Amino acid sequence: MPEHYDVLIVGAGMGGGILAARIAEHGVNARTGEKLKIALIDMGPYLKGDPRPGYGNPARRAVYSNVPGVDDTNFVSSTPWGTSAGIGGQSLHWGADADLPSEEDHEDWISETGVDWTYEKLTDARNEITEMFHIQPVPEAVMCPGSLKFRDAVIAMGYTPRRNHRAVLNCIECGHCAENGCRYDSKSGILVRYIPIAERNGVEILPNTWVEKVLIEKKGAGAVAKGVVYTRAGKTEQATADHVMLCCNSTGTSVLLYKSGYGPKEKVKDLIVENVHVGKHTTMSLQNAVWGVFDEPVKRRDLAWGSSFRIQDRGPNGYLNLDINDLISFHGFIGNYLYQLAVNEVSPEFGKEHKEYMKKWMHLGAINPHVERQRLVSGEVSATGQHIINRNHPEILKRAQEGREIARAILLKMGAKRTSDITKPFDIGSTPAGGTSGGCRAGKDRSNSVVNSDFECHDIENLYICDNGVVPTGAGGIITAFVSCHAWRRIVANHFSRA
Amino acid sequence: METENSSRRGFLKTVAVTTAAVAASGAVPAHLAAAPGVDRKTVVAVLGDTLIPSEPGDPGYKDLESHGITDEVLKALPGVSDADVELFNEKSKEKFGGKSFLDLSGAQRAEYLHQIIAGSAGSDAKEKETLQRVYRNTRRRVMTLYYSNFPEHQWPRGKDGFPIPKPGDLHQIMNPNTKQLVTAWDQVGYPGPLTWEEEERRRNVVKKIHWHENWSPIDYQAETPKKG
Repeated sequence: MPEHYDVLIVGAGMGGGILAARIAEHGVNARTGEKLKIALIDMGPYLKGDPRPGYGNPARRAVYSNVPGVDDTNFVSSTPWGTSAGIGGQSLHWGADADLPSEEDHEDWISETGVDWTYEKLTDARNEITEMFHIQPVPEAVMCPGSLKFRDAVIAMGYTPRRNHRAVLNCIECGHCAENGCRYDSKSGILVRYIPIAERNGVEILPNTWVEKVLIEKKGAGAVAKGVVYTRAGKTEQATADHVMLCCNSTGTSVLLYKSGYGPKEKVKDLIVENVHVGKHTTMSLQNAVWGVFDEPVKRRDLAWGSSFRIQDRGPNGYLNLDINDLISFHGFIGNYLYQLAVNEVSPEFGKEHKEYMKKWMHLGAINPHVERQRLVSGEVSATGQHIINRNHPEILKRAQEGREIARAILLKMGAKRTSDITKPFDIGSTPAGGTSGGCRAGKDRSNSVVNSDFECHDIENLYICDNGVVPTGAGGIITAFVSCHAWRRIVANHFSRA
Repeated sequence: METENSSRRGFLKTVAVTTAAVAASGAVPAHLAAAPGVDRKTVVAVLGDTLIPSEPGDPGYKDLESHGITDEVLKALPGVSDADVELFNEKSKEKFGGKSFLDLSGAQRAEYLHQIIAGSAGSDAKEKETLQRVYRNTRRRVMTLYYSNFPEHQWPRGKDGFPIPKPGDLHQIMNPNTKQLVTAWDQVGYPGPLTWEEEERRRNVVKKIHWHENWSPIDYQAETPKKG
């Protein structure tokens, strides 16, 4: 007999971890009033142990070596699409930048698909994630000299700088955030903030378990989710559940649904229910950093955070805005590792000049303009999990180039002696798979989306989706966590409360 | 770990003498001299030496040959076939009096690389592209490996892929850099992963800025949501 659960959650990242913890804590069986039997499944390992922010727990300290180099990695396990796998998901490897959605972002979601996620309605969610992830502005005491130069330069240029927010607790500023798990339990994430709650409330955590497909059966004109087929330790088995929740990220959830018989017919082998929006409408943050070389250090050796200030250059009618971040920081934050600086676009070609440049690695810093709030390009997830998108829309490239020009002007105002050559053609970069949105977006009905405002699948009973894929526009990361804090409230109120 | 007879100063002295002698002669060391039909490893080794040259008191690529740096480079050098390497070695003959890349002096090698970068080496578009690809791909691999702190660039891992802590190390510090060998991190003053002393120092500083010693995720009490 397969194991049976009240709730089966697939994917233990920003979505699944929060759902598991809070549904276990607050939800009950609506018929009997009894505690729910909940399983949380993930393909990767479980680095278990109560957190000790600022010091680290032995399991994490043992695994996150923080050795920054081309042949070393702290991704102890990866999904096929390059995101981190394990209890904690991509929250293990995000950079902890934590700027929550603005009122404008909420308006975009509502106008894009008709979700009812107003700024006011998600206030409890905002308060929860702010407290749980300990989101606070970057203290000036930890900023590097380059960040302060950035601030002063943009003020002189007529911009109003905003201090960045970050999701850390007792951070000792090691600088290894964006590319590594946090060995000190300081970087907020699901493993150290929500999984302890899930454990205390009896969630059965099943690591190293790969879900092959969701069991979906036809039911009249529609369908119903019954459980999952999974493989663990080489053995393939089934587990059934009254409620199945998919939280495998925009790419992972889309691929799992294709394999389960749900999605656009050209991508699904044994189609049970068609919905053309599965795996579609993916969006991401588009960015391309500009580097500067200074005569004096702009990083600091003793303490430093990744990104301290940002400005916004608004586009026409508030679209194609440029969000311009200082990325001056100490090592470990996107391109600032020594081996990356050795081959970046401002490095001399070779020889003694290159050696001298490397000795002054603390004199290097970047500014990163993002093109935000664009409605021009979106992508889709292929049947095998590739993210297909043509980012090079002429209007986006034009705006990105304007961002590079502003970034270069800021660097020169800061006193940079040399910058990236922004006259060279460039390929606009994007956030990795974990930072996309869309894929299984939430919306009014199946004519434009996959789930409703309460995260219930339009077409398949007892199936829910809650990961970055449900967000109609804007990148993932903290947005996913924030939306998940709303999701558990809706799901508990609608399905796991007594009348 | 430091052995009884090694010290950083002693190593630097040894390196300085060896490097000066080789630099003065411009010759390819005998153990790297190419056999007929160019040897991939030899060309990459000499190219590596050109990319990150050694000078008295300032080691470079060739000082890590005894630790197998070229073998390591060759383990992951995509897009560079043996034929590409042969072309790279031969093409310098056109502008350097019939001398192959391996026969050039140090200054001539640098000049040849600049010609490749500028697109003036090579007879046609295909050759130019090949030369530039050999240069770019090898440069990327050599630089990223060297500045990953080769050969002290990795921490030993078990079959499960997890790092293996040092026996008896309660703090599980995993900085692979040692004082026994002068490597890239030493040359540029890059600290790498934090030592325990550095962790404690930073904790003491940050405790005066923003710290919650006994924070627990259980502290925040979310209210049970109501229906409707």
